[in-house]
Amino acid sequence: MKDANLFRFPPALAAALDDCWRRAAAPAEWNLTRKQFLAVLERSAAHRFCGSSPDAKAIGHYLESLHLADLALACACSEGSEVAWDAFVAQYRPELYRAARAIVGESNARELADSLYAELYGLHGSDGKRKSLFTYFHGRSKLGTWLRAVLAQRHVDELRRTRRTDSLDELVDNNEQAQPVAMGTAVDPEREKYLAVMQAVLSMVLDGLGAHERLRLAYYYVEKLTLAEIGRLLGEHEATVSRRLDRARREIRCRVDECLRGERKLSEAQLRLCYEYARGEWPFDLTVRLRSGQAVVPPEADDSLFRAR
Amino acid sequence: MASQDDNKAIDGMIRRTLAHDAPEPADCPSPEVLAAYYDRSLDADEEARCELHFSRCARCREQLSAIVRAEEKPYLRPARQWLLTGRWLVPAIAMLLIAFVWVARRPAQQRPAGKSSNTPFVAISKPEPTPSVEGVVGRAAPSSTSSSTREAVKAAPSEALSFSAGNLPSTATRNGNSVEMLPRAKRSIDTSVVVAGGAAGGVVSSGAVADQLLAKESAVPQPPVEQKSVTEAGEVTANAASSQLAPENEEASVSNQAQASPPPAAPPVQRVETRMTEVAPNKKATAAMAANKSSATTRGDGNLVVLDRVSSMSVIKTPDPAVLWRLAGEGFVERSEDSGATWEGQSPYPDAHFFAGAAPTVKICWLVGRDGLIVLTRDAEHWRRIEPPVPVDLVGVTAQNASIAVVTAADGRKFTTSNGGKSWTPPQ
Repeated sequence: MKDANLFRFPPALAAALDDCWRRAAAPAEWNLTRKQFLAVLERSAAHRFCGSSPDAKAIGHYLESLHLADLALACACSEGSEVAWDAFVAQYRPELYRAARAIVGESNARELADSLYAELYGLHGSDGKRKSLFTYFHGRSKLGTWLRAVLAQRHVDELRRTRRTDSLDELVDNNEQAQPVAMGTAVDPEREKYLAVMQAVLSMVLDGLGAHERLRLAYYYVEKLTLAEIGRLLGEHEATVSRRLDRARREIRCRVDECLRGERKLSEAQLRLCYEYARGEWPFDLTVRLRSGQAVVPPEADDSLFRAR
Repeated sequence: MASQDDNKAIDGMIRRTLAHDAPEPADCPSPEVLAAYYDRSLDADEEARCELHFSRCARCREQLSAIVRAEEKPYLRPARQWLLTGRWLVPAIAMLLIAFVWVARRPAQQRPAGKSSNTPFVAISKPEPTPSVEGVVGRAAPSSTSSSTREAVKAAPSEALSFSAGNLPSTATRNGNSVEMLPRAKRSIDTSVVVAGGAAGGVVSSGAVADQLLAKESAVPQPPVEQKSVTEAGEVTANAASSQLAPENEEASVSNQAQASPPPAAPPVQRVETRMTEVAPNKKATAAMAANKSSATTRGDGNLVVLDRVSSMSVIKTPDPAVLWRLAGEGFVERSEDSGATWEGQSPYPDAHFFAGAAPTVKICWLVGRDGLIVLTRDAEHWRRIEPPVPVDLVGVTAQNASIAVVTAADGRKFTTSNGGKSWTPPQ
């Protein structure tokens, strides 16, 4: 973490800092001093503006955007105030457990929440000082959101770690199951090429989308979020999300068809084959091979396949 | 047009492509930045850089996805929490108001059970009849009213109420006993008229009650409905024409009021034609009533009913004692299948004003009314308008079935049809 001592508020922000302390409204029983709170503010600003030299105005805007009450609570807890800790427990413990249940399910929720709980309270380091996870909270979001973000990160990382271990086995199984499609039926040997063409064109079309639109598609198709949840993440109404998803799909379809007909010179029959094969089982994970740069016969190099039709 | 299968293929390929976005851990932001991005606390440049990284980094997307899934969803109110918001009050109040207005505008259909059988008739005065027309309700001389009332009413048991006088008789007598007449507002009993004694088939009766009067028994035991007859003035009974309708031997014979001689003891009337003349809206009737202060008249056989005031609750009998029709006023007709305990209303014709009816069977019912209105139902549900013989008020009807009927105009003329109203035979 950036050394907070490297960041100092300019004198012009004295009034703003006083206002921040007033708005934090830390109860006296928390034993949180103004000095401690300002130190937290400096650390927060340093984290935000690391590598840059913001002017007083930018810093002032940043200070105004902070959730000062939550920051004061986190700071008091981090400093070891038992009263503040009791206040945190009373307010956020139920929310923490509920969020854990929503993220990992009922069975593992308690374990996940308790581990985070302990880290928030603080573990004594080698130097004997207690180090709390609250140190990493800088007030840029609500304390509850931050707690959920921490839970989410731990869960996702654990999930990915577990998934990475199994994915190879699944890939092998899939490859074995994909051969052949059915007994006695002839498998088109060019099927893989058609699919490769389709995948390449689609990847190109998706790459041309804007970040916001691609994010919307990813939330919907990959994360399988509801329209309301997508709207919550993107700041849109769910009706807007639905409308834009539908439009994006139509545009993607049109672009894919245009690219297949125009650039790839596919006939209508070949186009139909592309879609027909795409509806079926994928013989292997083309996307992985494309990403890893493995050899996939580019359609351009083997245009005899298409010229003959 | 892209087919659904092709779209699925594209979807699968997009998923495969994006799923393998290779993460670059060195560039991945810290949970602090992820959280700040999620809370939209980053400035524009930072946010753009982060998004560019996220769009290529599956690891960061997975973390962000976990964050959004772990966010506490908006508080969902319990099922009954909406009751506390009060937002339901406005539509509920609106529905209540609509229901209240609808109920208030509905005509009273229910009458207390059991009272209909005990309700006496109210005789009303009739307009001055045309002397030349047989069977027309004659203008009863005041002096003859009461006596002829007593004489005419057949005690089978039948009791006739004769009104003393006035457009709004306040008292009436039944067999010499006074009967208090109650204003309309207090009306809570049913009054029914006549009679048809005896044989089934083609029994016709119509009830008539003074529209602003109620008969309330004071001392006299309530006679059975079928035996009651209330007349105030005039008389209308089946004439020779209607006698043709009687399948049985016994048939009603109605003598004109002008025939002063006491009517012979008539056998139980099977079909009785009643005539009702409208009171208030009919200037002629009003004038007649004013002139005939005690114009209640009944036939000697007691089966005659002359009603000059259209009651809003006139009962029409059928061969089945349990099945009754009732003119409920304002164009509504009601039908009961449980002897009047409950009634079901219908509106045979819009803006109709019925004066009389005849129900030769439990399903068939003829209704006649103002300006030549004639409607017929064969199934007790669907009504058909019949072209009238004359476009005048029709105040009486007798019917044998859905084809054969006799209607009586306000001026006393009778018209007969034998083909369900397709053609009418004028009076001879």
